[in-house]
Amino acid sequence: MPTGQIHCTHCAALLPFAWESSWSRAVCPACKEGLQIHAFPALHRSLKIPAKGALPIEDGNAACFFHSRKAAVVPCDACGRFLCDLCDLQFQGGHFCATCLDAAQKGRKGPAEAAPFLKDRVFLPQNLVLGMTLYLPLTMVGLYTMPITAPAAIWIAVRNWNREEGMQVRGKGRYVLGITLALGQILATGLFVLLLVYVFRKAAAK
Amino acid sequence: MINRQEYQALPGRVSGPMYSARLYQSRHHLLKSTVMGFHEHFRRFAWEDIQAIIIQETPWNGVMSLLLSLVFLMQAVSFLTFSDKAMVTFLIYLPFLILIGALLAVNLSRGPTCKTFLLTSVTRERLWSLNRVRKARELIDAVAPIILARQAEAGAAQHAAPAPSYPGEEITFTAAPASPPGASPAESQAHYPGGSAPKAAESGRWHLLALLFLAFAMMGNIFDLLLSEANPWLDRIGMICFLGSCATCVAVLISQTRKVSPRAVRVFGMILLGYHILEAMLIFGILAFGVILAVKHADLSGEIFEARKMFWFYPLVRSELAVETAVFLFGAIIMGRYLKRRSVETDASGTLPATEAT
Repeated sequence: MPTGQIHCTHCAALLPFAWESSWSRAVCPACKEGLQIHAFPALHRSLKIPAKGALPIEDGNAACFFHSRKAAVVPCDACGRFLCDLCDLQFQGGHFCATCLDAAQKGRKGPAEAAPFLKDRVFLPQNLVLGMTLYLPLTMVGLYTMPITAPAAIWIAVRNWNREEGMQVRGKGRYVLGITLALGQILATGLFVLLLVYVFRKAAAK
Repeated sequence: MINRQEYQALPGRVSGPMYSARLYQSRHHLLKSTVMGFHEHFRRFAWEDIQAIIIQETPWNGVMSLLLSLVFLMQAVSFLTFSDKAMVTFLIYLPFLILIGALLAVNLSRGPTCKTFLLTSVTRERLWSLNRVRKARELIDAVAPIILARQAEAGAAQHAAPAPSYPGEEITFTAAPASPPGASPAESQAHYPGGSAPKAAESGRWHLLALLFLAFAMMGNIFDLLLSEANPWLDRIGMICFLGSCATCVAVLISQTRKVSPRAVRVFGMILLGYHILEAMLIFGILAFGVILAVKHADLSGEIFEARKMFWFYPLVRSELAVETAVFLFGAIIMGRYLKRRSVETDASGTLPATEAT
């Protein structure tokens, strides 16, 4: 994106104004949408793209793990592999290879511990438990699947009790609610089965 | 593995049963956290990279207030004109009125609505947790000093630092010539990537047709609502108009040659869908209740039905009519707004607006 330019968030037309580092109000000339814009100095900073060109290997120098004919310049902070200038990916002062970046994002143990800030997704079993025990039975389908989903929800809750939590969904409250509901559903299912047996027996006796 | 001690929550939060969004600040970056279903997703924005925060004002606060006021007013009129002023009637109407009044008060107290975007050199990210102008301003007041300080540090470091270890290349983009304020849309379209603005997808006559159908349906509903006795002809006219508006929406969607349908019809289509799901649930609930009553108390079904009609059914039908009228009004506002904007832009430039296909 060119420096110093802002496009309308509604119609993507260029807003023909000079932006300063403060509040300003603008009306898009194309779609007449009202916008409030707080620009920061980075808007006027030119994009600096380093010209990356890995140096060829010389005698006595270490080679890049991924490019055997290129000289290594730095080791990966997660796995220790030697990296050339092309393979070196920098984040928050650290140097990483592409494999470790991918692994860290997926939350694999080694790389994710070396670079926890790279993790972009967390699984929330609390929501799964609550979905199975609270939201699913609200639909008609969920009533029929209850004998399977309720024990499964308890199993998931117990298995993931000590699992890593997210930023927003924390605590054991959802697990407790899910387990309570699941136990109630198991009890209700059992009572329903007993009732059916009783009715059939009574009908057979008659 | 995420160090929660490092993060501090920022103003603004959107939360639902399986969805929530919130922003956090850390020493290095702004963290956008979004819970969707069974996963929580993170996006991080380094303070040095944030170029601007943009607030786009939206009219939904006014629309919601208008709709809630309308429903509240209709409920109040319905209650006042109800012939039976027994305590039971009062107890049935009161929760409706309190609920709608509370929703209205909350909506008004939260202030105008908006969409908030965060701009960096490579992306423009919607901040879902900030949907009210007041909260967005609070957030900016909180993070602006940090961003300015970090960007000043980064700028100073950039100037003070020696030449990089590898040859760097300073790329300065040529800015597009800025058009003067108040330039016509046709002039502004010259800045679209690709040279020319995309063609409009459709002319707007379908929207006009939908607007007319909705207006007729709304009028029929209002008459039906005000007249205490059931009027089959009004019901039929209202139903035909309602079906006509639905059919118009479907026809517009089918007639589109492009993949992206016009926003107004798309939004109204989603509203219709949501409304019908709710209505189906309501009808299903009433039917289930009726079936249970008929099975359990077959001998009393006549009396119970009368009682239900008196205490539940009648206010329920009126509420349903009020909500339906509000939905029609909402659709009419969307269509009218679209048509007005389109006519203004067409008059100004003689061309169709570029926003249609974006």
